[in-house]
Amino acid sequence: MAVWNVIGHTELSGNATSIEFTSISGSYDHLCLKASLRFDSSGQYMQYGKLQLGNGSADAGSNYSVTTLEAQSTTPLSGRSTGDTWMDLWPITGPSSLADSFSSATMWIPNYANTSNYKQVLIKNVSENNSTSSNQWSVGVFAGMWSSTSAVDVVKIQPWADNLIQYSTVTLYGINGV
Amino acid sequence: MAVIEAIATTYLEADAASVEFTSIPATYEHLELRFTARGTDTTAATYYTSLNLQFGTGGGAVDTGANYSRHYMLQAGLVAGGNAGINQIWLGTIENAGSGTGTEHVGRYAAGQAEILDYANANKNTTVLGLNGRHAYWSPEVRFNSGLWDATGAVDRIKLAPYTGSFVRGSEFTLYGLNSS
Repeated sequence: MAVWNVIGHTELSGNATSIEFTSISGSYDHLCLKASLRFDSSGQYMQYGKLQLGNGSADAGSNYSVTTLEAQSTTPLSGRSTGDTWMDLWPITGPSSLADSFSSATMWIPNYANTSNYKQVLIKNVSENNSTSSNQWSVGVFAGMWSSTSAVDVVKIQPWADNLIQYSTVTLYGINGV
Repeated sequence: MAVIEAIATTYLEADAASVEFTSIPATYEHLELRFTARGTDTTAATYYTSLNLQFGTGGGAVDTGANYSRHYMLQAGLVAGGNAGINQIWLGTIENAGSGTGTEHVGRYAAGQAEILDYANANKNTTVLGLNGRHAYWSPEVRFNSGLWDATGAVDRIKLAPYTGSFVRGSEFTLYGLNSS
């Protein structure tokens, strides 16, 4: 049995509000997503991404929290948000950044199919730009939680308020243990 | 077909100025690089040096132009910080021979990992997401790095080199390819 398995891969052929994987099998131990994203709203270097999980459909209830450690300048900052309707605070690259540049993120959802525990998410994210100015780039790590014991079979990714642009990609992997 | 495949591993049997992976196929979706490395620079008090990364496309040499940028946040000793720069990508720092000659120094190789998502997509610049640790005797640190190559060509060559000096014998670099189907 292979350890890493491709569950799905999406590359947008045009702008779209979100990328969503549904009917995810519960037969793996962990999920891993690799996302290369850019949004389309003018006048912004970055915009928070939103991650929602669900069982049957993406949960839009106030069941998410996120803790952050991020640098957008020479001074890293920590952050915390609770009672949210999504996990956010991880930036996606936007139109004011260098053309053709996309943010990169790796997201782990360990033990996603268990029905006893709330679901934890670990995100590593970079929003690159050819700039040395503060708040025009981001590197950060983000810990999220979905306060639900339901197995995850839906994962939805979208920008805070705008569209993902063409060529944005997300690959979803299922990881097996022994 | 395995999802993760090792494209190449380079283990240095002797000191070397750089390591290059060439003819990287465009058939994967993502690349991942893992390394342990140490530098030869014996300059007094030069405890560490940056690990530079350059990309190439189209079968040619790596791009040595000013087409790169980098950012990172780090914890160095007890101090946290962030940094932005242009013209280079740094995958972090590696310990140097200049850090000392005692047994507490010479065995310390830095470790790191870097992901290069969608590296063959001709519609995207190349972005690097990396993590690096250097458990040095002097000034240990952990860095979370990002890098950007302002070029949309499919990456088929990667060059790694210390900012000063060379890699020492025993440094090792492995490049993996991740499939998406």
